[in-house]
Amino acid sequence: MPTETQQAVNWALQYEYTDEFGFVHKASEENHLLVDKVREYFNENNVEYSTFSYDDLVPYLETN
Amino acid sequence: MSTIKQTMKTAIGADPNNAKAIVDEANNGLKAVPVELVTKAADDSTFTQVGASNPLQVAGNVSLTGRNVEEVMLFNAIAFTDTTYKTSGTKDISKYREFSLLFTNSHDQTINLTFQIGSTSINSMSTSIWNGTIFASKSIAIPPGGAGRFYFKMDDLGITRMPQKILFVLTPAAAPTTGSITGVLMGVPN
Repeated sequence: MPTETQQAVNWALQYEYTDEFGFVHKASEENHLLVDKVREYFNENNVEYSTFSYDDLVPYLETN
Repeated sequence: MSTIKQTMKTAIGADPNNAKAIVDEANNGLKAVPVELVTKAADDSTFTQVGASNPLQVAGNVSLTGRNVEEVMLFNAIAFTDTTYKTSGTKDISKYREFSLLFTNSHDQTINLTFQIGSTSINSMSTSIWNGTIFASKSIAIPPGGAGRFYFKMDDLGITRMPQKILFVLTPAAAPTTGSITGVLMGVPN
């Protein structure tokens, strides 16, 4: 994983949104949301990365 | 069948604290409403516990329905960056009598799903199903759908009898630049 992964995870964990039914979705609770936001961080910061999954992010979650 | 009395001659008994709640509490703190199966005398005089000396008599056919569903994670939010396939690994599903699949694909590209029955190999080859005329491989295209869910049954894969083991393969149709895909198998135990 890129060296920026920890920053990306920390940033992604802050993300949440409310859907049209009023349900709150948090990246800290939904694996696919977390991965999508980490990927968004990589893209916006021009970080090079290869295919990864939630399992690859687990070690970075343990530091939070 | 006996009738239910709408009026009672005596009040429901209270516990030593004079609490008249029907809910009971176990030593571990769990609270529940205990149920005791009884039969009522035809003359409404007594209840008798169902047991060896008072077996429950049921006329007609009896069927017990209800089932548990277990979820098996196949793909835990994989963010594809190229068209290289990923497998779920071989899953032992012998404990299930049927299964269905649920996918979420937030990629910006379609992801193709194939499978191998009874295989431990990890390549992208799919199992071909005899359709009465030819062997045809089954591939299901999971479209890019944001937060949309894609659900299908084992029949949709052409599987009509439960295999002992199965392996799923995901292959992007083109390299995705955003999103991820999650896949869960929902099995109904035997």
